[in-house]
Amino acid sequence: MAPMGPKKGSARNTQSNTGKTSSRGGISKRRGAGPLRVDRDGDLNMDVSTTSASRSDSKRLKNNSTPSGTVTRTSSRNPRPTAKAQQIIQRVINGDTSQISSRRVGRRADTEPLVALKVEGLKASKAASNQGGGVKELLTFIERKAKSTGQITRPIKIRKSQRSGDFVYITASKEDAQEILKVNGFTFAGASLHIIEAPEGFPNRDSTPLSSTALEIKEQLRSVLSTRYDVNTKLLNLSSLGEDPQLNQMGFFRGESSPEKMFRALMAVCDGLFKTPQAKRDAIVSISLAGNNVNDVLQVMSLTETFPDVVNLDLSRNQFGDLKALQKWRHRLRNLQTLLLNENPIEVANPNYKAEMVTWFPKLLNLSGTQVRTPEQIAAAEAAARPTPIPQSGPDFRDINRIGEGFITEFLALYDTDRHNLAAKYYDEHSTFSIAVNTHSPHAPDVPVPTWGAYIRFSRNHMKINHSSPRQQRLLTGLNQIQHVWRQLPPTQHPNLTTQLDKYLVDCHPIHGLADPAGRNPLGVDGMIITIHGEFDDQEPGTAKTAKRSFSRTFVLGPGAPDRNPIRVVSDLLSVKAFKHLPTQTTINDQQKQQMLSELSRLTGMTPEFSRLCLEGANWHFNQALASFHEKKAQIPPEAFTTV
Amino acid sequence: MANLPSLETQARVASDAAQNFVEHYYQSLNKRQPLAQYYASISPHLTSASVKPDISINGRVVESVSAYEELLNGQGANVHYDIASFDAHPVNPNYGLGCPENLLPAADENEGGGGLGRGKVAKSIKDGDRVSIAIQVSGTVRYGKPSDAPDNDTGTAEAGTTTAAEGAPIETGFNESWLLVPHWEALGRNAARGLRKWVVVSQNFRAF
Repeated sequence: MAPMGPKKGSARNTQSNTGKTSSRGGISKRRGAGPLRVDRDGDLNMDVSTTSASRSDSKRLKNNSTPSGTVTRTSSRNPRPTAKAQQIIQRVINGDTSQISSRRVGRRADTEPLVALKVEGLKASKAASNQGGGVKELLTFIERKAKSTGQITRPIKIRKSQRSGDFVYITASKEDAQEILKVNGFTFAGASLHIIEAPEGFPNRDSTPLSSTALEIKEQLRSVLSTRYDVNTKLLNLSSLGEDPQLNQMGFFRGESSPEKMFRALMAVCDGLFKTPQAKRDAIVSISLAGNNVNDVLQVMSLTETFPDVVNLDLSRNQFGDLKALQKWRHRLRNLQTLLLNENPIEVANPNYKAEMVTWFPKLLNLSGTQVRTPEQIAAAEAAARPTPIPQSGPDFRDINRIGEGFITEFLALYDTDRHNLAAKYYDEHSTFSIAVNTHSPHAPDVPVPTWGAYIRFSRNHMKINHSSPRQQRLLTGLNQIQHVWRQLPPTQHPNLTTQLDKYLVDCHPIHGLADPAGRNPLGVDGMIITIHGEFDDQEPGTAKTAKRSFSRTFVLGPGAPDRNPIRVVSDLLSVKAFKHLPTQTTINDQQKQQMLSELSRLTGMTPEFSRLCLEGANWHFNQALASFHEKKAQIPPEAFTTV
Repeated sequence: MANLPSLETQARVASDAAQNFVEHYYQSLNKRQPLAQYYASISPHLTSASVKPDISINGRVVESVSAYEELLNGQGANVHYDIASFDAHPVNPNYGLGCPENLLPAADENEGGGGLGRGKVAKSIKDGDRVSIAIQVSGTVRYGKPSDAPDNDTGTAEAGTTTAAEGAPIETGFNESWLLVPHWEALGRNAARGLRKWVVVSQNFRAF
């Protein structure tokens, strides 16, 4: 930015300055220039004479600590206009607290809750007559004593301080505040200190809205922005700000005022112009910061906070000298496709910078005018990073003499029409049944979540039923118990297994080592395990409300006891959940595919070629293909549609 | 039959074993740790009795645990299984396949003091150590990272930098049915430590 100082001085780390006496130097220096206040970062406090500055919010307090304290230290030469300008800019910045703080949540210092404390005793101490009123000495004293008293190794940091009447208000992290409270009762320069928590925060001193001057400044910044925005190219051109007549007229580049602050104010005004991040993304795709004499992105950090999704960024004709100067944006700007660094010292200093920077921004296509990736490469990289589910195959139905098929066909039909006799036929005194409700299964967004009232009281979902006694009670053993509960479960209607096989997935295979009901073979007998996934409609007995649900059911089948039905259900585990279509198996024959193709073409107006693409993308799941068509309709090229 | 565990014991053993199995198995799965310890193929006694795990994944029979692990690795990183529900039943109160001689009821006769029906084997049976267990698990598989939020060491806002639709993880439901049998090597006096007490002989997975 125009009159930018060397990197070290201007890019001071906000977090490392607290607690150092040097950062408090500003207090005494500015004292001679009138009743101006500085906070502990050396920044000017917002207001002096009026009574309110709403400082209760700790996030707001932190927002005042801008990375430019060094600039204000020299302000005693010409304090008035600078002070005023800074106040105004800060108000602009602070004007919309919610947005600012939300943009800054990532900073650790901001997210850390600060505790406000109230210190009494300065006024009575000898230090009160010191230059600067003794605040500086008091704070140093407290920090030092808190550290030594608590016998801790880390430095205790007072984040903010403010003198108000007889009290000095300070903020510190929760941990540090604990230590500071131990200094309560210590003698400081002849006076006893009284330190208590101040949950009310700093006294309010300014809750009035922006002053007319501030509004004016804001308006001026807005007008600067409007002249620099091209609605057609969606470009916000912030190049060569130092030469902007309007900004110069506002005095941003004269001596004491900080261009960084001006930039933050600009960004803050930008932020205020958009209601949603999406609106911002839509309006501003490209930003140019060319020719601003920036030598470290720290100076324009707020750009990535205000425009995290910017696609094209021009940083050419600046002073970036090495990768370090860009390091702070390494994990930001995730959507950056174009980055121009032409005419920066880095081109000479580190000719290999491109190779490194390509790895920083995953979507970068164009770096300083060179193509570094193709969109296809990006798509391929993204696809490779995405997990691929294990493919679906048709039924794994390893039946024995069609026993499984016979059982499951009969079971589904009779379960709807005659549960009592169904149970009597296949279940005996050792058979077990239970039901588990899964209330958290994924389902299509258009499917209303069903209520589970009729099922939940029987649910034996071990994730919810943790104690052994209800687990015992809800495990139904023996024909009588099973029949009893089946009577209470809502009547159901399952699709016909033979004619609507596509609504089911059934797997089965032989198993060994079941208990021999005849008691002869100690090694047990063979049987099979069947898992069936499908759907049913039910009707709540009380309310007659109907619902469609999905279910999974696992049967362990074995040979029946002598003189009983040859097949018995050893175990029947039923799981019910919200309705969701089953995936279509990949083994769809060509005739079915042809039908889907023509149906999709008919419904969407797409050519057979594009219909095929669409269906293949959806793995030949017709409804999914149709849904994705509607979702991506806007992006589909016109040649995809048949001309009528 | 007098020595069989009570229905209550069977149910409790099945529930506890299922709880332990589900907690550990899916954690290993999510961390893509080796799964061999959970399957019957780890047990020489079961293997010698021709008991081998029957693994069926989305309708496809998978030959071995390592073949299943290969299939899992093929899915790529960031696949997460979440359990929403599980239930368990005792199946055979006294599973017998692969039972080594020293754990047969007859072994009690040779032991001092007990005699048939009173010794350690009888107690172990009575305690439900040999119950075989059916488990049905219902949950969600998430393919992709839990959120598309930007790297957490940046200061960018919670507004996020990527649009929600693309790159968002896919979630599907799944059901997995299991049959577990006693792991003979983990039973008995000189059992090695750290072995799972029940191992898988049947696995049926379906995502939908």
